[in-house]
Amino acid sequence: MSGQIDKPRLPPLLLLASLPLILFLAIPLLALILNVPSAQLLGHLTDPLVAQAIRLSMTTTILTTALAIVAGTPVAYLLARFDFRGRTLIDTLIDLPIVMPPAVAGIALLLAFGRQGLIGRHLSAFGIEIAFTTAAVIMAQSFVAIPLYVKTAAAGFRAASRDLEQAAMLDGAAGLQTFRFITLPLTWSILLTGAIMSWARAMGEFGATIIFAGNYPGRTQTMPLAIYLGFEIDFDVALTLSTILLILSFGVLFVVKRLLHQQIAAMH
Amino acid sequence: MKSLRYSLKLIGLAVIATVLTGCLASCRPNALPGQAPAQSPDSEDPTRLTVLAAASLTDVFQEIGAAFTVANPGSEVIFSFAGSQQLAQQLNQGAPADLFASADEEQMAIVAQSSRIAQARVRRFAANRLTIVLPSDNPGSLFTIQDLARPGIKLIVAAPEVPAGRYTEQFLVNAANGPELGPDWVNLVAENIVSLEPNVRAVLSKIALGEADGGIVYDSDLTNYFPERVDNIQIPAELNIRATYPIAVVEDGEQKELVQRFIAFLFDPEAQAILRRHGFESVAPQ
Repeated sequence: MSGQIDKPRLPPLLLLASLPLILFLAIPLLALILNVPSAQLLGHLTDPLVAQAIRLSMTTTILTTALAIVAGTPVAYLLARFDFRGRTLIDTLIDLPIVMPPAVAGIALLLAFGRQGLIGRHLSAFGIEIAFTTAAVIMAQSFVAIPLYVKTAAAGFRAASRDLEQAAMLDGAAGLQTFRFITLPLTWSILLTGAIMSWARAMGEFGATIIFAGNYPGRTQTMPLAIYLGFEIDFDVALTLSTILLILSFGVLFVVKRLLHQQIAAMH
Repeated sequence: MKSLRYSLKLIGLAVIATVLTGCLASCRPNALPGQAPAQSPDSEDPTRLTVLAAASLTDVFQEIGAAFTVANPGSEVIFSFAGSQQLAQQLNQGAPADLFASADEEQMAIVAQSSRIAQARVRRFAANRLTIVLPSDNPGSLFTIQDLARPGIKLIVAAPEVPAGRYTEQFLVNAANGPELGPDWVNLVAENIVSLEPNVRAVLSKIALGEADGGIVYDSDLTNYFPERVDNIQIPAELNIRATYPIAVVEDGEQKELVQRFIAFLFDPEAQAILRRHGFESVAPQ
């Protein structure tokens, strides 16, 4: 009748209420995978166009995630810990790319950094043209994905216990030291979760990429773009690419979450 | 325990009932929303035509559709414009439609494979040619077709999966085989291509924004949309392609009578004049 004392039994009602959503998410993904013959899958992996798309997607998304951590952490900390005039404005600004249609983000990036763009036209004078380059892909991904990291990281910083930090500062630690030796160890798992979300969003990024960076194999054709165009010549190609993307994303997400879970369990 | 089991049964029944009701209310075999119009042609709406048409037909078909509605009061024409290859895939997946107008024969043949259109009933209603388009301020200083090969020039074209992209490739093959330009010119031009867009209008938009120095679009695209923001260089007739636009009735469409009237209207002088005005070549009815 009763389960182990430290692991509460799953309430059946809760499980039943959760089932519809779980099924709704699982069934289309299952349908996708079931429709791809595995022989085709392996064959397509060696296709140079497919390999290029995978390589480009991995490289750009990893760089975007690194950028998220470097550029996003200060902002997240700022928003979480300080109150200042304009705080709400910046907070809303960070939220905007999440609700914005990606195509709009692409157009905005083009109008800002394109050849005739607000900033772009001055860069053009120095011979720097960003559109249609791999850098543009990273910028497009960053625009839509980094806000996700910032939101998660800010929540993490907000939740972190101040007592330890204050104790450290009382003992004479400087701000940055406190951050490095107290705050970071306390919040790293949430920061990592935010980074994964950012990476996942960057992996799926399409609208802003195709408008700002364009579509060129090896340079700007990430997996979502390859799938979009593949859908139009050959449904099977699109299916194969989609499955590869799914397996890749699922694999990385699953492994990282497992690691996180183990680390957190080990800490308690 | 008994009451828990009872509640579970109740909830289970409720869930099943909801799912069944939802399914019966909205399940249609072979219904694919995608980019096709949300409302499907059915007998509740006897005057609405659904036309899937190539992106290059956007402005001209909208005008023809408006003229048709004026000539046939009470009727309504709904268009879905996209790359023909996208529409072909949607049709093969079962998207509801009455008519399909493609920018090339290949996409029409692809739809014929699923028997949603009858190849024998396909008619050609217009033709188009390619042209080189550039931003009106000409940032790349392109004045002749040879200039396209200049190193550092940025060109955008439609992706080879798109009819316009396939025609572009054909034009490049013609250029490689011709005496004036040759394979070296083609190689240099290929190196200057920085993006392969998913439809021809995307090429036009980016040129109009000045993002690239040149692009290849249809003649008809010049008259639409941004005539004052773009300029063009003509492609020599002997190298150019001639794109013929086929149109076919979707066999399982429900607007049998209205669809025939639309096709007849399309071949009438009024519609053909509209086509010519938008830069298309009109074609003798077949």
